[in-house]
Amino acid sequence: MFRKNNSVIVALTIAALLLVACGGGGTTTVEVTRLVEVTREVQVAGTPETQQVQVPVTFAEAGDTLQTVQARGKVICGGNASVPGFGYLDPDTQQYAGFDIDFCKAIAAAVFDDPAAHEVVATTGQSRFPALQSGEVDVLIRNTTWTVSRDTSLGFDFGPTTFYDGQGMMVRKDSGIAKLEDLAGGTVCVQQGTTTEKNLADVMRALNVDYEPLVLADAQATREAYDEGRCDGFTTDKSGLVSQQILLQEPSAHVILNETMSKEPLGPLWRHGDNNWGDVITWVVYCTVQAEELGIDSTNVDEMLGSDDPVVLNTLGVEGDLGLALGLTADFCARTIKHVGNYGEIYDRNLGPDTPFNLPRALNSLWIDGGLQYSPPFR
Amino acid sequence: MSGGRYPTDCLPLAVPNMNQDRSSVRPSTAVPFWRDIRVLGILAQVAFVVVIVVSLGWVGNNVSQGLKALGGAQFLCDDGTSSFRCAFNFMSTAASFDIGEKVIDYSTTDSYWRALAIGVLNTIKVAVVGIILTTLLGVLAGIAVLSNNWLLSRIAIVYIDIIRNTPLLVQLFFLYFAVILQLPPLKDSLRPGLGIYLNQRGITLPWPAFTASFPLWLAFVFLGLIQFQLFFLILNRQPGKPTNRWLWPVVSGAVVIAVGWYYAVNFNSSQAVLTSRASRVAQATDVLTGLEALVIKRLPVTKLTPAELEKVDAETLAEAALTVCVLKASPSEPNFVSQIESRNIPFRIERFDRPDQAVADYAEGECEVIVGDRVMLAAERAVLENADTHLLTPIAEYPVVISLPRLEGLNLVGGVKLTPEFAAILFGLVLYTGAFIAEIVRAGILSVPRGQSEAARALGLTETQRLRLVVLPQALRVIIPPLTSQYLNLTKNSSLAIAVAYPDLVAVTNTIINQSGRSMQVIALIMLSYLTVSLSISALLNWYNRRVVIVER
Repeated sequence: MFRKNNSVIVALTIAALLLVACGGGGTTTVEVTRLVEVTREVQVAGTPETQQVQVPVTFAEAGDTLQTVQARGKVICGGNASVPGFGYLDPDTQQYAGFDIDFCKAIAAAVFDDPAAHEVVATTGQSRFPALQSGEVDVLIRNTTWTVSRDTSLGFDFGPTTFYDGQGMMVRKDSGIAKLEDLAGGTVCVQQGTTTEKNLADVMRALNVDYEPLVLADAQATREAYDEGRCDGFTTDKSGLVSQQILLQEPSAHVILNETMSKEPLGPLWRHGDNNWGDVITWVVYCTVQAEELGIDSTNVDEMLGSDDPVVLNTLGVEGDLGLALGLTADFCARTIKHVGNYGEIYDRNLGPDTPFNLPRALNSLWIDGGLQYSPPFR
Repeated sequence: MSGGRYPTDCLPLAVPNMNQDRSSVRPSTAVPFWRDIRVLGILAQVAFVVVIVVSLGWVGNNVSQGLKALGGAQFLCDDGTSSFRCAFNFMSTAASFDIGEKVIDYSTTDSYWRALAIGVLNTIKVAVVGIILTTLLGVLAGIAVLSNNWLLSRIAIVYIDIIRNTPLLVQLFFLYFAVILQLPPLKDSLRPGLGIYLNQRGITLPWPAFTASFPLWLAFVFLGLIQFQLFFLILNRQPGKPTNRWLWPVVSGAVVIAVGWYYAVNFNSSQAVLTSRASRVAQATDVLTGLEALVIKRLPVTKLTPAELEKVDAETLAEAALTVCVLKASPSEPNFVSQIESRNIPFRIERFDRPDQAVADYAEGECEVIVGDRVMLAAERAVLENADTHLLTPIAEYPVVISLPRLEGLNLVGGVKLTPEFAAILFGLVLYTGAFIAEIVRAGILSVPRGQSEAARALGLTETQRLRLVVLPQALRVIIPPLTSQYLNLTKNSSLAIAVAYPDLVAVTNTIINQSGRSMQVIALIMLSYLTVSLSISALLNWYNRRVVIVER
């Protein structure tokens, strides 16, 4: 009898302790006021003294993502593992590499001065939004198109577009299909839950083309079904088509149609309610674009630190305290360029002429070259 | 030993000493409340309820915090405000995505509700067909394991062991990518005969299409059956069972049906073709001969026979082909096509959604013939310029036409298609659940006492009769409850259909979640749908179970 009563009491005690430990969840918004002490050596002719500046900084409407990331010691990015060129997990080296992954490294370099202080969480087309909504990842850099519904009803904010893309269609060369209307009566493989599905339906409806969609869960299964011959066409963003073409059995037997079915501006995104973290991501991306515009790359960053051009000095944080207002160090941009490179280097490393993709810059050139990459000024 | 009435050396410890004076009973011998079973029982129940309520409260708090973080955008009403009662308003917006397989009509302009309905119907289709097939397979496999035939029982055991011990998703992938998609491509389809096409895009079978004259013919069919029955009864009344008691009823029934067919075909002028007078169709004895003559003029042949047509090269044949305009999914198409195919006339079909589009194309000269309902065509002809240069001629309409599949462009048209996706999910589920059901059936059969089988054999029943009449009816009482679980498993496992591209409920709703962003509302709908389907299945089986349960005296 005594033993039976004892076990009941023990069980109740454990349950009570667990409740006390786990109780009281929920997040609270905190207004953060911080005093930042800045020590900087300024090489100015005539005044060789070091200045100590105390700058009180307040971040209005800040969420706590930056603090969480800094406390954790690394930034967690939601990325892709199966799109070569943008986000790909190399099966031999087990390392993530790609255009989007490089921007994740850029954020890590800006926050921690260490590009390796990041972790990539592979997400599928379906799991990416819940992963960001739930807080599992800090930022999503994963071929995600900026649309109004994602900006509003999903509760996300978008950063600058890192890649201007459009939706395309891949078909077999020997199928005789030269334009979208030739797909009448045919089957098209598409990945689920992406803007691709909706665009395909809209475009085909506008062209009055009857087709049969085959919707699969992830990019790999979609590609395999197309490769086996189940579908006449395979549709996704053109950059995705280029990267998937490499993984087909006979890449040269397929051709991407010239027609662009939609606008697909791809960029990083984060949760609503965290303007500070958003500013960090935005200005890290703009830093890479601005650096390319100014001719700063990873090889000449150190020399540029001693440049005469005040625009360069402001960008690299030698003059001014732009980085401090973000909650980072003043030289956050210099760190980014040194560790990861400017926009052009990132592009060439992942999608450039030396890679199997060889995607022309086209819309992704700088504005001075006729493209759309334009950074607001760093001042 | 004291002098009291009760012996004291064999009393249990907790009982107060009965020999003592009542006034000196110590209170410590009463059971304290923290050891009293009744108090502890009540305390435990209270604690349990508190734990449940606190857990639910914590979960609810989590959910509402999450909702607040997402913002009011999730529950937008039409007037711009945000409230919980507008939680499902977004489901009325246009779906803007296509679904590959649908049981009822659906287009991209339909609402999310309709897309959800398509998903539910697709799941029910898989569940119903799957349950029937898997029961058959499971019962056969279960009986096979217990069979005396060594090979049969070994095969069944191997099947059960392999299928039960591999994950269902792996089996589905294997079935779809490694088996079904490896069938030959469309252009090299296997043709096992009877107009069947077997290829990696599915199996396409000829299928009957019912035209507008079918109800008329059906009436004649009923008349024929009544005739048959009448004759049969009359003839059977005669003593001595005449030897031709089958012949007369069958013949008379068949005659009535044949008369009905002839009437429906030739005296029912609901189908017509619209051609221009220039085609000189009017001058021929009938429309088809006229069209034949029209095509023969364009070809270097004198008659349309397969032998002659083989000599013509493909380009000339394609240019000379008769262009026919028809409405989509209309039975006019198989009706007309079967008639011109019997004359070997080469043709090309253009399909339209609406009659005015077809007539517009015809007026431009893109097609030479429009086929459709006579009344509709007459109305369209009336609005054409030079209406009397166009000729409306009725054609025969067969009540039932066989729609034969035909390779046209990128896919087969006509007939009925079983897609590889449906086949993959269906056979994957049937094989998987069949293995579990086989074990349940085997348990049920073994639960019937051996004496029953021995008695059956002693009575001279064959093995089949023993199984069917003695063992299985008794085994059913053990089989049905776990069988219900397996049916529910099959229904819920169909949610893996996205892996093989079959648009079931989960696949369609995942797209809705991705496009609308309201994961909570849509998941609630998914759960509700599965709950409804599962509860229906289990209610049905519970009713059946009550019918076969052992009646206790």
